[in-house]
Amino acid sequence: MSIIRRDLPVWIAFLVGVILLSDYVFSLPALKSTASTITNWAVIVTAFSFGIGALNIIQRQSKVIIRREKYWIYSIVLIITLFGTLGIGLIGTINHPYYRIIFDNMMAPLNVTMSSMLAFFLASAAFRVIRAKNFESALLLIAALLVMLQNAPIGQLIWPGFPILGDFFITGFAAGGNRGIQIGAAIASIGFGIRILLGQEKRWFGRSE
Amino acid sequence: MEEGIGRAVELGRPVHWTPGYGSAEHAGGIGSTSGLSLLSGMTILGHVAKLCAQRGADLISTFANPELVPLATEIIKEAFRSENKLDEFKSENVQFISSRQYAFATGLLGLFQREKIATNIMTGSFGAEALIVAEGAQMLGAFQVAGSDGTTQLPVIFAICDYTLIGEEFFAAAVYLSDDPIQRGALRGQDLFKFGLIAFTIVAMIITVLGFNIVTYLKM
Repeated sequence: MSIIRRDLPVWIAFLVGVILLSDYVFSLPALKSTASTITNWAVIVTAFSFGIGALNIIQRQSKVIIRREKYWIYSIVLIITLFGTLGIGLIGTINHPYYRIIFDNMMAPLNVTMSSMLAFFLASAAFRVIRAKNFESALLLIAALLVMLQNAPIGQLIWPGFPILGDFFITGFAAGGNRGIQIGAAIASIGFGIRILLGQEKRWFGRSE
Repeated sequence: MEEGIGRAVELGRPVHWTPGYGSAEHAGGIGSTSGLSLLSGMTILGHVAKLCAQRGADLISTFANPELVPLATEIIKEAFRSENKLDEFKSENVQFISSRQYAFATGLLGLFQREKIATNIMTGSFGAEALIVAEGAQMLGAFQVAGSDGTTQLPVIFAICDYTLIGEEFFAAAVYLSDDPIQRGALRGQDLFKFGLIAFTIVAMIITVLGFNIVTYLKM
C-alpha cells in the first residue's frame, strides 16, 4: 500500500487538527491567518464536493436509464430537472424568475409537505411505542401523558397540578438524563478526536490497520 | 448488526446504511460540528461493509454530504477487498441523495420502497429526517440499528429502532468492534476519566450542600 494512501491522510488530519486547535488556545497572528486559510480551503473543498455529488447522481441514474431498470422513467425526470435547474441557475443566477419559479413553486412546497408529514410519522411512532407492555413502557406512558397534559390547555382545566408535575418531569428527570448523555458524549468525542489526530483511528478513510 | 445483516441475506434483500443529514444544507459535513459524529459513523460503516461482504449481502449507502461519497466508496471497497470479494463491490450502491434535509428523507423513502430493504443502519448525525427515515423503514418491517451522539433525535430512534447506540456508546462502538489493544486502552482511559469526573461531581455536590462554595476554592 502506498504511503500516499496509507499515511498522507493521517498526517494531513494531524497537521490541520493541531493548527486549528492551537489557534483556539493561543492568540498568535501567524497562527490565526493560517487557521483562517485552512478554514477557507475547507469551505472551497465542500463547495467542490457538490460537483462530486452531481456526478454521482448522473452516473447512477444514467445506468438505470441504460439498463431500463424498474422506474427508469423517473431517472429521466431527475436528470432533466437537474440539468434544467443547473442551466437556469448558471445563465441567470439564483434570482432569475424561472429559477425562483422552480424554487418557490416546486421545491419550497415539497419541503413544507414533508415537514408537515412529521406530525403523522410522530403519531404513528408514538402509538406503537407508548403502550404499557412492561414496567419501562408503563413509566414511559405515564411520563408522556403527564407532559401532554402539561402542554395541552385542557390539562390545567382538569387539574391545576398537571403543568407543575409535567414541568417537574421535564426539568428534573429529562434534563438530568439529557445532561448525563451530553457529558458522556462530549468526553467520548474528545477521545475520538484525539484518536483521529494521533492517527490511531484510521477506519474513517478506509484503513483497517 | 450481525443479526440484521444475516436477516437481509436470508430474505435476499439489501442492507441500507446512512450517516444522516449532518447539517449538509448549512455548509455542514465533516467540517462542521457534526463532523465527529459523521466520521464516527463512517468507522462503523467499515464493519457493516465487511459483514455484508462476508455474508454476501447487498449494501446500499446513502448520503446528504457529497464529500462523504468518495470516503465511503473507499471504506466499502477496502472492506470488500479485505474479504477477497472486490468484484462484488457495486459503486452505484454508494449514493448521494440530496443536501436538502427533506429531499434527502424523501429520497430514502422512495429508495426503501423500490429496493425493499431488509435492514436499516443509521450511524451518524441526524436531524428531523431521522423520524421519517426510521418510520419509513419500519413500515417495510426492516430490522433497524441506529446510533447518534445528539440528544434531540434520541427519543425518536429509541422509540422506533430495534437497537440503539446513545451518546458515548456511539463513539465507543467503533473501538468495541476493533481488536486493536491501543484503541481499547484509550477507551478504558476515557472510562476512568469519566468515573473520576462523576466522583468529583458527587464530592463537589456534597461540599456545596454542606455550605462551602467550591467555585471560590477552585478559583484560588
